Amino acid sequence: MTTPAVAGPTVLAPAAAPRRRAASGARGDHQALHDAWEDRPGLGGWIRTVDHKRIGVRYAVTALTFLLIGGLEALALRTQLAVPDNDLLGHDAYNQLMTMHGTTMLLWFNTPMFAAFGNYLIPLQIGARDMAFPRLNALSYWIFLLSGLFVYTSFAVGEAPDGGWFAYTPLTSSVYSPGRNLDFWAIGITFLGISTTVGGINFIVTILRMRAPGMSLARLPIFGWTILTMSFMIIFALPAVTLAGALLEADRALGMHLFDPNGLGDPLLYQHLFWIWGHPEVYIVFIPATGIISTIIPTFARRPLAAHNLVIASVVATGFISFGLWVHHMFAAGLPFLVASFFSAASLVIAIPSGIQVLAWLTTLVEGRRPRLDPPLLFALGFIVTFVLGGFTGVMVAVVPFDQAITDSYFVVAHFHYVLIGGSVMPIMAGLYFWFPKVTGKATHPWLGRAAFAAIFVGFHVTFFPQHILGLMGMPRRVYTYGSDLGWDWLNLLSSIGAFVLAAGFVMVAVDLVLSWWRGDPAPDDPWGGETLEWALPSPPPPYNFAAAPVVTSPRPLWGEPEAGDGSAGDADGDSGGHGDVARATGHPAWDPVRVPVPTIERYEGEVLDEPPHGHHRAVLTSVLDATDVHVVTMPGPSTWPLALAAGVLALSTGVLLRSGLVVGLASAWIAWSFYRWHREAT
Amino acid sequence: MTAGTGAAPLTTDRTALAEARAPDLGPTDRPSMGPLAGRSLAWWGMVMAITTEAMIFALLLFAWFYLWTKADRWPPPGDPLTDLGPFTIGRTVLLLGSSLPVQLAERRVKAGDRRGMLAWLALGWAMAAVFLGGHVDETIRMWSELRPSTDAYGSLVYLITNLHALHLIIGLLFLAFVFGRGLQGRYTGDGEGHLGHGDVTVTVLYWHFVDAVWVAVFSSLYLAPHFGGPGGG
Repeated sequence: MTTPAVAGPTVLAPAAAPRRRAASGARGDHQALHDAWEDRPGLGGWIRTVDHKRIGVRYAVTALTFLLIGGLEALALRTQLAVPDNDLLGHDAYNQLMTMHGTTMLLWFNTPMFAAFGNYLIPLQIGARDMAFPRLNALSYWIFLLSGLFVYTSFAVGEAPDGGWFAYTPLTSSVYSPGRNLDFWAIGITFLGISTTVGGINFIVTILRMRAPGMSLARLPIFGWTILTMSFMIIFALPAVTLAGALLEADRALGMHLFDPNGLGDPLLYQHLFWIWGHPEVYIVFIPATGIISTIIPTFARRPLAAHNLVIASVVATGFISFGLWVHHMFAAGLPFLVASFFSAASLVIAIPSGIQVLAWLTTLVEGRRPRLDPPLLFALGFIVTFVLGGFTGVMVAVVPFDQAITDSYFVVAHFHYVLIGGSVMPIMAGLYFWFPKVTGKATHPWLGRAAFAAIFVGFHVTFFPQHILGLMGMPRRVYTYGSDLGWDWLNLLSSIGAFVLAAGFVMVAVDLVLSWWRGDPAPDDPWGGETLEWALPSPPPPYNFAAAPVVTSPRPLWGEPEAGDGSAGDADGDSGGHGDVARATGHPAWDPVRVPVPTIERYEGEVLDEPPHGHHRAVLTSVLDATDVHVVTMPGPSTWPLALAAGVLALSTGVLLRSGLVVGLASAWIAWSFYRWHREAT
Repeated sequence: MTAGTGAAPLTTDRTALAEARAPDLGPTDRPSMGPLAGRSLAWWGMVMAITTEAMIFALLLFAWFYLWTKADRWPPPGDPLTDLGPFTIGRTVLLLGSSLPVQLAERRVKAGDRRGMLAWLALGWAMAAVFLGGHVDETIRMWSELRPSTDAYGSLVYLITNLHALHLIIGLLFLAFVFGRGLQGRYTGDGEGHLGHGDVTVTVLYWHFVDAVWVAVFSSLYLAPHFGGPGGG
């Protein structure tokens, strides 16, 4: 096996240096680094932290709490629908729980959950010490948390949003929804939009400028590609929903007429704005999920991802095409035939890059070693099965006549739960199990995770498969009850039973993770034999991540490159071995990777990377495309001002809710002041 | 290759560092050891922020033209056209012109000329402040004939021009911040760091964006209804 280029003894560190040193007691070896990067103990350090790992864990815990809340709401809905003519929930309560279930799951759980993965993993995978804008990162989290608390305050005052998760006008106008319910919703999503946008910008700049020396874009791990694509989609798509929410609130609060046909406005304008974001959003939560799958499957199959570059191209293509799909949510709105045809075609086309990815995963599994069925792989397999089924119905609803027949029925509910739970939540569970040992240094329970997978997989299909049939039988969405003479009884009961099995699965995951974190067995630093840089670090990684800058010479830094005879993309022709054809077809050899050392740069232009000037967060910048031009910079350190600014935005939102110009003015001044103090203390 | 790291001598010479790696790393694998090429992190962050802000304005103008095509007449009967008089043209020229002194301010700080930077910043600030005054004046004059609650036309006119004004105010605050720190002599002009000239560069970039948005707003809200058709019908 050819070792990768590891240079002379002077500058570059030897085999697996970061790991070995850490094993011998990181504190003693890198005291100056620890002093510079470790947060102060206590509440002050907790509030002021800019450590991307702490923020990532915070994001995950908060988002999973919203998953719990959204799940409880779903159980309430399914309990209400379990039997006909049920009066457990009235229609008002049902509408509020239904609206908040959808809003919570998509906006406060699913999207932030990938911010959690990205926050924790991106700097580790690209060999960086922090995100590009550490304080903006803290701001993203605080705004995410406070916006969630803001929108959930609506339950406390008995006025939770009740206009469906997409809040169509004119139902949500002040004429038909006079309470504050929709104000909480419209202000809340605008508020949250700041967090998501800032987070997206942060990911883009981090990935473009903070990659380890030698990690050209072609060597960016595939999860990084998916987060990069997701972030670009966010900065282009998110303004649409921010605007939809803001304009809806302008109509409601300021008496504007943007969506009011009596004032020359148009309700369809709202639908356009909402879905210009809303359809890319589906892929915003799907693309990083594929990144998790594309990381887990090669690791378990012990071979590189088949068609690696084609998968990356598919990810980027999906990002582009997803902007040409939004009207397929409006096929029943009476748009011109030509418009509907274009969007129908685009909706069919997007199945192609998704199909490429599925085939790449299957090829990787088939051509790899026989994998061990640990929870990450189980959830990944569950994802493939479920997502492909959801993809089938996706192609069906992309066809205009079919869509017009089943629109607003339970068929649609079944379809999007297949693609969202199958396509996004199962990969999230896979990722939680995969990286849990890295984050906590603990191993999960030997069989509880497998049992949880069984419950989630079976519970999911029992819940949602019958809903396809219910939809075809004519059961409409968003009804709080139904008559017993319609023949929908037993399918609904089955679906509700499935929901409780599904919920039991999630409870098992929660119990497993919490108990394992509390008192689980210690896990090795690299339990799966991963290919990316985070596995070269101790678990949990030290506050500064990397004592020296890793030098990356391969897309799989810990796996090195295959031997020449293995037949990589260029020289597969001469390989007559068993896997030669596959190597030719997929561009990658069948090859059992061996862990290789990571070369590092310890000193650069007189800068000793593991002995920073007192208290400074020193990090390495590289050039955008090929990550050369190494440059050492000082990053901003911990600060109270991100939380102060987020609190200002909360006050601003509350001012708009209360229609109080005074509060809005004071809050704006506070935001400007916080921003000034934040910037003044930048170094 | 398993030599201990502790024994590595301190290498400060970049040529020696490059050569130490040369035998093993191919040309594409070798980090070049030159000084920082490219822009600061803050510059990249501002480019992305501008991208997403530009989407907001693009979508608002989409709403403007979308409702226009649905209306019989635009502006609707009884609603006033936006003012395309010499005053509006004049303040537009002033705002777009302010990009020049602000750009020159950045050039001066890079040259280490603090006084020159302050002078150009002050001029750019004043030109934009006159524009903002003109916006307030136009709003007051228009208020008796058109309000945000009149119809969707009024809603969009006020939303778009005031959202632009808000961005302008933020830009003026940025300029004032940079001016204040320049007055304290904080900027060395040396490098893209935020105390070199990075703050100024990023502020100037944002300023050009606010100006560019006005070109789009002016064309859509002022020029187009004057010269465009009566409506989509």
